[in-house]
Amino acid sequence: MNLIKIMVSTIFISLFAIAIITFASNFGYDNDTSINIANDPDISEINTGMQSELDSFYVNANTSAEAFSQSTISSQTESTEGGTQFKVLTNNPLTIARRGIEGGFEKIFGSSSAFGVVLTTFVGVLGAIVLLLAYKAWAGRDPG
Amino acid sequence: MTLYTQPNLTSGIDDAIVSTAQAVPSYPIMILVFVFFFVLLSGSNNQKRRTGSADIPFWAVLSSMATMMTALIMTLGDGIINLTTLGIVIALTIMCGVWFFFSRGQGDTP
Repeated sequence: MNLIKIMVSTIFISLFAIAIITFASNFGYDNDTSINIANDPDISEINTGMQSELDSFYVNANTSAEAFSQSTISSQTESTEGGTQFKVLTNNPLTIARRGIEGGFEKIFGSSSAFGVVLTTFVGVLGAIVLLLAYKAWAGRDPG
Repeated sequence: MTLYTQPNLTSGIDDAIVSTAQAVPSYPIMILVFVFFFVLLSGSNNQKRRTGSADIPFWAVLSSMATMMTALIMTLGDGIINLTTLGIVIALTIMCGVWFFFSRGQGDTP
């Protein structure tokens, strides 16, 4: 499924770039170096921009997944109400997955906001993939 | 008359590196280029010898990581590399990562 592949690639490019820049600047802070990448205005601006983009992606993915899971098809004359199964499909398993990942993630990476964006983005990607797979199962083709 | 000023080695080996970098400004950059191409060419050649094909984007990421670590260690002292060089190394690392994420690896299905 090429759409998921491209989407995950673009998301992980952002996460990779944020991780690299954060690592390099924290290396400078920790070792009290003479030259610190955090002093570079361009790199810092790119880092801040990417973090806010990922934050808004997380919110948007959650909003669309929530709207999708709450949507139903109203009953017609010869059919019953459909789509109710999606009300439990996305929310509960994603919450369980997030809590399970959090347990390992907090211990390995800590609760710093610089790496916290990785977890929220990962859950956002999971939600968006569930959304796309559900669409493919329902409509029988890739969206777009 | 000597060709260049001898570095004072009594104050530590890093002082010799700083003196060399001041005499030849491209010296630390050439070290970084050497590290990048050493890891890239040796790793991809070895993989090609063993498996028949080389995953160049993967080795580009690995070599740029090695270059970035070398560049980060060079930032500890003043006068070896400047902020512009470090920024270019970080940008190249990110671009190699972009290349890697968009490339098709050996295990990927078409």
